[in-house]
Amino acid sequence: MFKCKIADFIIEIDNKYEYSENACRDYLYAGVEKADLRISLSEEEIECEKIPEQNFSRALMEFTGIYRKFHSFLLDNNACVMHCSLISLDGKGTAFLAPSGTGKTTHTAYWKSLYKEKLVVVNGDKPIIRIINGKIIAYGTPWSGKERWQTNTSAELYNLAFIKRSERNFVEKISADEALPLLMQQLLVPTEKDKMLTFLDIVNHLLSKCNLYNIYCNMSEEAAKIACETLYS
Amino acid sequence: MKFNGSFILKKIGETYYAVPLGSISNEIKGMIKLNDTAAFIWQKIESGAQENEIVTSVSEKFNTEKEIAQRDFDEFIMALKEAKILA
Repeated sequence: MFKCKIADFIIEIDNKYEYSENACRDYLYAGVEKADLRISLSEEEIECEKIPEQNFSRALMEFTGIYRKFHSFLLDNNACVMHCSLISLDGKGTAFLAPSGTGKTTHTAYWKSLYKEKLVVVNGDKPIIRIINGKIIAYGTPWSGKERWQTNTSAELYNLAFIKRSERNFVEKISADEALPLLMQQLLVPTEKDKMLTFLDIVNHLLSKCNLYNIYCNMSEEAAKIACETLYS
Repeated sequence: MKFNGSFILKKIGETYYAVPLGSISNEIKGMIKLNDTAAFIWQKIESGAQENEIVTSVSEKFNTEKEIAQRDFDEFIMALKEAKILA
């Protein structure tokens, strides 16, 4: 069993496998505050995380199951997980969103090489988004994808940028109507009514408060430069 | 005339959407975009209004003849029934 603090929530995890505690090492919490949430998975619940064509270990399946239970809790607390690569530059957060394999990670890598210590990768795969006093705050989490890019930090989210592969590098502003289906593809959509109402409020907030862009890019350093010039002008 | 609880109406940005809930979300991926008339009729149904009142309200709100409002109403109801949204 261990405690961790993720997105300012204190979670007590009764784990069966060491993997989860190792994965959460940057988020471990030794303080005295009471837990907001307690998570444990039965062997049956771990088994539910099995994907037939993948050979995941039970330890990894438990870690995924923990994420799923945490996500359900988030929706009861005006928060959700977004599938994106989230960076912060000059204190302002940008989320790069796209289906897996499009090039979010490659594009992020070019930003990292260009802006070095000035750039923080908050999370390379599943940051948490919270609405706090009307502001949209993005947090690092242990669920950070293959590259394990994550920082136990937070940043106010200013931009949603949808990555699209293109020969030519350019950025265009888009409307909330255009962004909505692209955004929905990268969110875990609930099915219960009360969670759905919170979820849609968060979606509304994201689309009304963030600058919305399509980034057309050919996966080069030039693409990152052009994107940065528009998003951080 | 009432909804069966399988969808909720939500305004996102400037547009109304019917969003599936529960098991229906396994069959219908995504959300249904509604135009202004459809969203207005939906809200009227939700408030418990009956057909005549809804048609009159549509005619007044959108400054249209009653026959056109009736046609819009009938078409929308048929679409709701096909999508199994009404109880």
